[in-house]
Amino acid sequence: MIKANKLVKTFTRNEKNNKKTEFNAVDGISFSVNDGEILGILGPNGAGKTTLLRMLASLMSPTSGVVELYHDEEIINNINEKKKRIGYLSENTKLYGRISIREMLEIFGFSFGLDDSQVSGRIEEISEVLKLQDFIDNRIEKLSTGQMQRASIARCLIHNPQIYIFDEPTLGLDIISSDAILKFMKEEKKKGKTVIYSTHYMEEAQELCDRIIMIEKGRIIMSGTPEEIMEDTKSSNIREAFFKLITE
Amino acid sequence: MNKKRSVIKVLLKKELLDVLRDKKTVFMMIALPVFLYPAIFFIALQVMSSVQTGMENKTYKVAVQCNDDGELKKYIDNYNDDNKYKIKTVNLDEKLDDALRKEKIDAYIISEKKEDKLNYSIVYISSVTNSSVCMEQLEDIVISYRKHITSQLITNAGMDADMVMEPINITGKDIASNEESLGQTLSTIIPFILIISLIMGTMYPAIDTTAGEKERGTLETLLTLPVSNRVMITSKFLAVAIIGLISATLNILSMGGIAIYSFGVMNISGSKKINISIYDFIPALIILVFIIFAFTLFISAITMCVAALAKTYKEANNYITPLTLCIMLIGYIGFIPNIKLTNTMALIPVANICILIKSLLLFKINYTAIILVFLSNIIYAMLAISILSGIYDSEAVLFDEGKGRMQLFERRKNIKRGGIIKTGDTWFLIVFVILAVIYAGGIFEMKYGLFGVLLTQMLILFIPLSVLVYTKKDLRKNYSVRKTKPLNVLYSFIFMAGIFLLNIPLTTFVTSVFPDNTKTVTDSLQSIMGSGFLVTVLVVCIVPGICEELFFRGVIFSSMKERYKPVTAIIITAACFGIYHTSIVRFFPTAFLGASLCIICYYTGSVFPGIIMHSLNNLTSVVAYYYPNTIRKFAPFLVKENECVKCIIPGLVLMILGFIMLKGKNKIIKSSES
Repeated sequence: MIKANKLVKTFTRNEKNNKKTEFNAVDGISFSVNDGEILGILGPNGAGKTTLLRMLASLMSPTSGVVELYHDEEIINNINEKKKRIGYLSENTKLYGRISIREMLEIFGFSFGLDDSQVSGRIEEISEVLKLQDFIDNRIEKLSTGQMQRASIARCLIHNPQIYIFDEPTLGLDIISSDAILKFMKEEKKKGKTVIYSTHYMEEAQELCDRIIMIEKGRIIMSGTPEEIMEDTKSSNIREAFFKLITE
Repeated sequence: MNKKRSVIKVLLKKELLDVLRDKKTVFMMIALPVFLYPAIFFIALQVMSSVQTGMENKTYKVAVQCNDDGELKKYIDNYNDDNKYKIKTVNLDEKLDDALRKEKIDAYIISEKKEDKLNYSIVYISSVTNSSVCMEQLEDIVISYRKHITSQLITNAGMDADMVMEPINITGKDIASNEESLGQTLSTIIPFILIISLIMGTMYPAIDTTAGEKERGTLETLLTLPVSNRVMITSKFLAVAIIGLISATLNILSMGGIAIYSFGVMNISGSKKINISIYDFIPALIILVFIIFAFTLFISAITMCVAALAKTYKEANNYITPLTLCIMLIGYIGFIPNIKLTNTMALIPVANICILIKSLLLFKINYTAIILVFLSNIIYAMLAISILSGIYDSEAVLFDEGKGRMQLFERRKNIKRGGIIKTGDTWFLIVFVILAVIYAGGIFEMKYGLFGVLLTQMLILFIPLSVLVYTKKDLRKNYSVRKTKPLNVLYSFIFMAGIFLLNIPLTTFVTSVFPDNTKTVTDSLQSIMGSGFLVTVLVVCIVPGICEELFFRGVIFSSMKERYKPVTAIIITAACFGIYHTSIVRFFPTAFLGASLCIICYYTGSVFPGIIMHSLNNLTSVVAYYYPNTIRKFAPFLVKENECVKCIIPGLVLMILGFIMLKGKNKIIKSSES
């Protein structure tokens, strides 16, 4: 389980007249996600989704508030221990072009504390699941976009994390690759894993997520199951609900 | 049972794979030294050889228009010293200067009679190579002609011409061995080549692992790993150092190969064979390997530090270029003759390596200096790595946020009022004030003596004050201007008395290690004393006590405490205080004093006890100068070297007692608190 408790993140912004002002990219967000649950985070550009996910993944420290990660009902405080239980993927987490997928998975596997047999075992499993066998020994810079995205997901899987945090994982992918990723998330949910992901694709969120939170200007404007949100906003789908909430 | 792999080794492998598969790096590392240098050398050799041959085969044309009935012209035409000189006289109708400028002739000789003497002038153009060479040859011939005339005159006078012209024989005898001569030649070139090859070898991997990683977007990926910044930096650093070492080795082997080949060719083609024993260089080469290793670590760390400040390859190149130029400029020190490797020089980065290599190749081995060079490079490398770890605070690197940024170059109206000065501004102040003290302060003191000292102290007071006022900082908090209990002054006195006593043997030890610098320090102190006791007390004790404490224990220490742990803040402030005194002899005692004053400020929360203690410390020097006999009578341990050891135990006792009192009786106050 992962809990966000009154998270705030303050940045400084340059205004037009060279003045600098502080603003809260994330402004007091709280929620929790249980094991075996998929939480979708929706919002327009600049809403604070990426900042929120970075804080959840312990890449960025909050200005105030805490991120609590539970393992067997115990809170994990150490940042590196948190990172061992999280698989993080975003468009900013690029891959090393000059090494192969296998080499990358070995490096990340060993860095996460796995031993030789665990690493080779996991590479075999992941290769099977994501169908990497044909190009696992190719240099990453030679891969297509879809192959690279699967390689990125493979990187997140290598240490078998409890929590997945994905920032727009299907962005720029074709329908087949997107579908593969959505299927993967569903499979991981069945295994009792936690998935938190942000997306612009409302239909995806509606189909996949157990719960959705919608954020705008760093604050939650709506949260609940897709059905609850649609009922509250008297909408037929999440896209319509989203537009209604944003324009209010 | 399967063992888990060391994370540093795993990340090091990743860094090495990533860098070595970069074509640019491989080109700089391997192709350049293995192929390009030999190619450039052979082409240059061919070109030089053909030019040399051309010059040797050339016959120079000379016009001779003298009032000597053609005697000199005849002499030149008949002069033949085994075809060493190829000069042909020509007759010209046109103006000689015009003909010379048009290169129809290479030189001309004219004469004029003055008081029965014939004065010959050889006219040539130094900017034209042929004319210069012709002139040198003509000079030899004309000198020979003069000898010939002189010999004739002596013989006509009825004397033995040979005995009169050369009554004694003089010869020079060089007892330098062939190896020493070779060492002399190599000692001017090798240090510079080594520095260039190391910079080139480390530059690309340093940029690739820092700014390059940011530009490629893989840094955030790396930060998802459960490793500390320190582990991450260490793996990058080791990768850069390994590649730098490989590159330097290949460069040196390439240059060495070219040198051996050239020497071999010269030996085969030359008339005289020169035998060199390579074995004589082995001890120097072994020491050189260790020194190069330490220097590689230093260069790798420095280039990474600079490159890490950039976000892209291009930006990093812009930052590294001035650094490279500075290092190369310092590398020229190898070309300066008679520069010795003293213990002080052994601590100056880059210069120490150049002079050490020079000394080794001249078979002058000073083991103390060698150890100092080795250790100093290692320490500087570690310092640079610590700074690099600080730069790699993940949020500052990724998102351009975080502590320690500068406000000094922002518009004043955008700066929020209050708080403690940012560490970026503090570092800028430290460098600026130290440079101002060295340059402006040095001039003030030379020109105005004691008044110059006062002016220097005003620099130390007003430069930081200007920055604090501009950045709208809380002066009381930054200067630690707070009330303190009167008893704290007593505790500080006991503590400082112990420090003062311990500093005596420390100073004695340091002056024994660096004797060449002690005289300089003593002379400079002598020059500022002697203006009267009270005036000297004011200028040497009270004013520095106030100004230096406000800057070091006020501004610097307050800022460092905000960013770092107290021990780190104390070490940094003390080191800055030591460096500020710009003398290796004074560095350690003043750094020790500085650390103690930091401790007092830390536990009392106020700058005032430190001001008093600093002034009292300086007062001892003034009293020792004005009342030497009194000091010698009542405190001989202050002036007699063999008595200074007696200070250690009482010093330790007082220091510990004072420390316990300071710590036990005070609550720590943070810089940002009132």
